[in-house]
Amino acid sequence: MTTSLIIARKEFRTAFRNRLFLTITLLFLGLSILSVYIGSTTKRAEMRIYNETITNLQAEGAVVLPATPEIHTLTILANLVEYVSIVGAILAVILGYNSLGEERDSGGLKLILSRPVYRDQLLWGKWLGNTAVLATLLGLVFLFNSVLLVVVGGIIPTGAELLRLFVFTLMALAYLLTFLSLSIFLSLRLNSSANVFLVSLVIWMVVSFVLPQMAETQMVNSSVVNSISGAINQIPQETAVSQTINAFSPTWHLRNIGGQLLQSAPGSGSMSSGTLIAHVLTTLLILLAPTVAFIAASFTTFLRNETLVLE
Amino acid sequence: MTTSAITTYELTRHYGENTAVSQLNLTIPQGEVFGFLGHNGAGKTTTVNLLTTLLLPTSGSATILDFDIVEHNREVRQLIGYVPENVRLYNDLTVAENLRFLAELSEVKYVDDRISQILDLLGHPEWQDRRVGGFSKGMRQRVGIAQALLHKPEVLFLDEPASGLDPEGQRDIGRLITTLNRDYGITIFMNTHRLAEAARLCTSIGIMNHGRLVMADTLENVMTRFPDAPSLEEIYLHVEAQNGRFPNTAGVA
Repeated sequence: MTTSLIIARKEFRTAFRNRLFLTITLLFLGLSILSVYIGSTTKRAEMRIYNETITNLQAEGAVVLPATPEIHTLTILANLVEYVSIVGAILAVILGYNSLGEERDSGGLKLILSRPVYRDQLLWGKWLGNTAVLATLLGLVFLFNSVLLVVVGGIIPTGAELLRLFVFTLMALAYLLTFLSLSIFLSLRLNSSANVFLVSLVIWMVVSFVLPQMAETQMVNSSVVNSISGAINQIPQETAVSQTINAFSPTWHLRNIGGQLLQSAPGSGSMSSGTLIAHVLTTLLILLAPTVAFIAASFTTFLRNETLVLE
Repeated sequence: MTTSAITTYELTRHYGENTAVSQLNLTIPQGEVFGFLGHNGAGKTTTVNLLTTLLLPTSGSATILDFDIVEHNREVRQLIGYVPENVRLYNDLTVAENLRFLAELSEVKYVDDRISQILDLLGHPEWQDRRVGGFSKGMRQRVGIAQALLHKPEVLFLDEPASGLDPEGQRDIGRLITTLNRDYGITIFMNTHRLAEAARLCTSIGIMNHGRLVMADTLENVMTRFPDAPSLEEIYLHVEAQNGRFPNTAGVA
């Protein structure tokens, strides 16, 4: 087995023995149950309100009735996007910080590098192992949610719906890799592992909350009449400025593509397959770009700074 | 002809403007237990980092069993074992899993057999399936030595091996060092502050002072050179005083 794969296997094994990691993973899966339960309850309530409205209108002799609301199965999982973007990102940061920052502080890297192991092999091994951890975790979430749709939601998803959920899982992995690579890079740049954790979290908060909020202030509102209740809703519309700000937020990109794939975003139900595929590929490239940049920067830092493991 | 285990020639390492190790010339024959003594910041750990290929020299050179530490660092890493001062293993893994991981990195064949052999040597075969997380410092130190022996190294570097251990732990580590040297022929290079330990275990010593090697000889020669000194500690304090580290209160002429 090659050196990088030996290191990757160890990373995988230690992650799934780490209590903090396991606790957050269980929290993640627990939130999935809650998400499906809330989603299915909300959708049932929407259908009940619609049916009651139709019954009342028919009783009043109305001839023109409002159209059936678009209720897509996967919208039940809409909250999954939020859980991945919050819990998943924190998990990715913890993995990167544990993997290099803490191991460097504890002197564990010296034990590895006093063996016939090159620095690039070490870094690849760390990255591959933790990527496998995140992929496994998201795979579990994918399977878990597919089962929950049937068990909790009482819905059997179609092949197309499972494919959408699977593609969303891949997008989520690309998103989480951004934060894994960020914390690995920061582990190589900052002296203290505590600082790695804090700076990674601050960056995550900025791109996840601050940037989208800034973008929101630059949006304009348009009014839309609700077909069922007749109420007027204010729908925020993107502007060039808000789009530019959001372009720097991986979280916004994940929410955007998540809404389209899970059909919870307005108009996503009528989106053609070709348009959706184009959106998916574009978002995938956007989400992977910071990962590539952080990996390249990590290799440059680690290979140039030979005293790094000794500090 | 005996090949030297470790040879350094004008070995120097700077950190920015600070010189951690300056023009170190040292020859340690095979089979020695070499005690590397010196105050904090004298350059002992930097020397070990250089010899274990963790650090590149600024100038000069060194060989381990005739392999250059820069040109043939991969071969050097196969020949050496290294035990840092604070051995930090993976707490969530068992002893066997920790050792297996490090053995695989060292390309050890028949890993499971080798792990059993090493734990038998340490006298703790029952540790195999225990998680390292619950281990005391002394137990970790023993596992640290175990990991350094997995690939049958010919030279073993120990950085303060008995630091922070209780007297029983110090005695056990001392016995293990003697066994490894006497029964397995492993050359030992040991950084230590413990002069009584050095006097008991080492066959030769070197004293570093502010990055410079100020004395290196067999323990027997050192003791002969200072006949008035009752202990290695007195000699050490005298040498340090001569080099401006302490006032000379050692009573050694």
